[in-house]
Amino acid sequence: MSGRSSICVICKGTKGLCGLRECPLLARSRGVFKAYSSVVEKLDIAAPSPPSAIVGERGYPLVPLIYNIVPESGIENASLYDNPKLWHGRLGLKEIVELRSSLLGGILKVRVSDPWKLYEKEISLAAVSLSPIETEARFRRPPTLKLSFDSVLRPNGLLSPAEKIKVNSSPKLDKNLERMIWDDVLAKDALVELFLKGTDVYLLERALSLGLLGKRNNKKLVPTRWAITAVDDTISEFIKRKIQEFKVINEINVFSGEYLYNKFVIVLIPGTYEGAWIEIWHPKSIWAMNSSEAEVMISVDTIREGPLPPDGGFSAARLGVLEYLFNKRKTAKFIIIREVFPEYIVPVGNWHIRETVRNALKSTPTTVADYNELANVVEQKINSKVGVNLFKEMLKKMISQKSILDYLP
Amino acid sequence: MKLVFTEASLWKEVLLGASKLVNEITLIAGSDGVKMRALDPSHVVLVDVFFPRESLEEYESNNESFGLELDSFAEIIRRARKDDALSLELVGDKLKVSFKGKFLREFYEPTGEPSFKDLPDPKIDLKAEVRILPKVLAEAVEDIEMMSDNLTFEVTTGEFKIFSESEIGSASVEFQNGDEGIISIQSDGTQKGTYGIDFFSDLLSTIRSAEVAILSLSTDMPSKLVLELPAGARLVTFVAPRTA
Repeated sequence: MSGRSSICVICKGTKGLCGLRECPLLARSRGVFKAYSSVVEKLDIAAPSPPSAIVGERGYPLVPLIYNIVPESGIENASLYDNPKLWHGRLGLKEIVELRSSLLGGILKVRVSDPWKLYEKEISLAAVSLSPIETEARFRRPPTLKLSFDSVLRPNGLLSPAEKIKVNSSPKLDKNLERMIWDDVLAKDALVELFLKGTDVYLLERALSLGLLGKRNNKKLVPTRWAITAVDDTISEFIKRKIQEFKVINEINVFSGEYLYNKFVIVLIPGTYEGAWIEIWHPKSIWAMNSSEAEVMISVDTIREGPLPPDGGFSAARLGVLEYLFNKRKTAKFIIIREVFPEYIVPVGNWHIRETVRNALKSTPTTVADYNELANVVEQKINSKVGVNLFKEMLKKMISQKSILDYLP
Repeated sequence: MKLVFTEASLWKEVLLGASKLVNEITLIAGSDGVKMRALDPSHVVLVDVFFPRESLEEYESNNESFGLELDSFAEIIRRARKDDALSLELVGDKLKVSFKGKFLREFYEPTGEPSFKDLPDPKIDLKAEVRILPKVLAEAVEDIEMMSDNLTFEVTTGEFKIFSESEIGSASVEFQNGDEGIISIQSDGTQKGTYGIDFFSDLLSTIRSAEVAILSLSTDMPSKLVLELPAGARLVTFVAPRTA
C-alpha cells in the first residue's frame, strides 16, 4: 500500500505516471465533491437508494451498516449505481470510480445477532429490492470523504453517521427470496436453492449480508466482504459436487476476455474436476508498485478441498467457470490466468473478475489439438514469461495425474 | 440384514480413514463377510474395506448392497466409544446404526444406490512387494510429506526407498531387507512410481492401527496398499500414478 501512495504522492494526478490519461483518484474526488456540494447545507436528505447496503466488519459483533443513497440521481437511474452487470463492458475504471463516489452512505451501528431490527424498519428488505427505493436520511453531521477501495468490495463514497434511515417506498422483492426469508433453512441451503431458481448472485450477497437468510432463530448479519466470498464459494462447492456426475469434456478449449486492464485466459482440459488460478501483477500495478518484476500468486482447487490459499478473486472467477460447466452438464479441469496491467491502479472489487470470466466463457473458444499447441496458444495470449512458465508447470502437474479407471478391465 | 461387531472402534478407525479419501461408499453384505468399495471423486483412488464373517458376532445377510454417504456415516461412526459393540441393521431404506456400551444409542442413516457394486479391481501386474510394519511406513510418509505433494516409491531387490522432491528441497527414507520394521522386500528389477502424497498421509491414522502393511507396485502403474487389520479385517487402496 505504501508503494501505491508513493507514486501518487509524486504524481498528484498531474504527471500521468500511472499511464492513464486521467487520474481515477481525482475523478473520485470530483464525484465526491459533486455529492458533497448537494448535501453540505442540510442534514436531512431525501434521495433514492439503488439499493445499496454494506455491512462492515470493524467492531464485530457491533458492526457498521452503510446504507447508500444517490443525492444526484433521480429514482429512474439510481439502480445503475450498484449494478455490476450493467457496468461490465460499458463503464471504464474512471466512470466506475466516479459513479461510486457519488454515493452517500448513512452509517448505522447494528449488532450482528439482531437482523430483525433492520427488518422491522424495512431497511434490510429495501436493500434487497429489485428496484430503487425512495429514502429519507437524517445525518448527525456533514459527510466526510473516506477513500475506500477494496479487492472484494465495490468502491464507496461519502459517509456520515445516520440518525435515521426511513424507507419511503415499498421494496419490490424477488419472490423466491421473499419465501426463503421466512423458511427455516440453513443459509447455505437457501443460497443453493435460490441460485438454482435463478436469483442473481449480487442479490444473494446482499440478502446474506443483511441477515435475511439462515435458520429462523439464528439469522445474523454477515460483513459484506465475507458474504461475497461465502456466496461464491457456497454455490461453487455445490456445483463442484454436482458436476462429478457429468461427462468429462472431450476437447481442450481456451477462452479469453479483458476488462478494466485485467486479462483472463481460461483453459478447460479433459479430466475430473481440478482448478488452478495464476495471478500475474505486472510491475507498477497496484500490488507490484515497487517491483521490477511481475508479482505472481497461485491458488489451487481440488475436489477434496479448495481454493488453497483462499482468494476472493479466484472464488469469483471459479464461480464463472463452474456455472459454465454446470450449464453444459460437463466436468473438466481448468486453469485461469489473470494478468493485471499497471493501468489498474485502484481495485474496484471482485465483481469484474466474475463478470469478465462469465463473459469470456460466452465467447467462441480456441480449440487446440494437444498440450503442446495449448502451451503455444497460452504463450501468445499472456505477456509474461513467468506467467507462461507457471502455466506450463501447472498443466504438467494436472495432466500427470492418471485415473484409476484407466487400469480397470 | 443385521450385523453385530464387538469392536466398534475398529470400524471407526477404518471408516474415518476412508472418509478422508472418498465421499460415498457401497456396502455389500456377502456370504463371506462385509465388503465396502468406493472410488474417490477425482477417480484417483479405489478403496476396498473387508470385514470377514468370522469377525462378526452376529451375521444375517441376504446379499444386500446399498450406498452410504460417507461424510454423514463417518460422523455417526465417530460416536463409537471404547468397548462399544456396533450393530448395523437395514430397516426399510435406512441403515440403523446402534452402539451398545454402558447404554444403547441408535442412529438412522439414509441409504442410496450401490454405485460401486460392480466396480472391478484394477488389472495390473505388480512386480514389487514390500511388507512393512505399519508404524514404520507411517513415520516414513510423515518424514517426507513436508517437501512435496508427490511421493515416489522405488523398489529394487532387497531395497525400498520413499522420496519426494520439489523446488523447496528433497527428502528420502531408505530401507533394506533386514532393517527393523521391514518384513520383506521383493522386486522383479527396479520398480518406481510417483503418487499424490495426500492419498497416503490422509490414511496415517488407519495405517497405524494395522498389524501389517503390504505395498505393491510396478513402474508407472497404480500402487496397491493392503492394511491387514485386527480380526481379519482389511483395507486396500489402489492409487493411480502421476507420470511425467
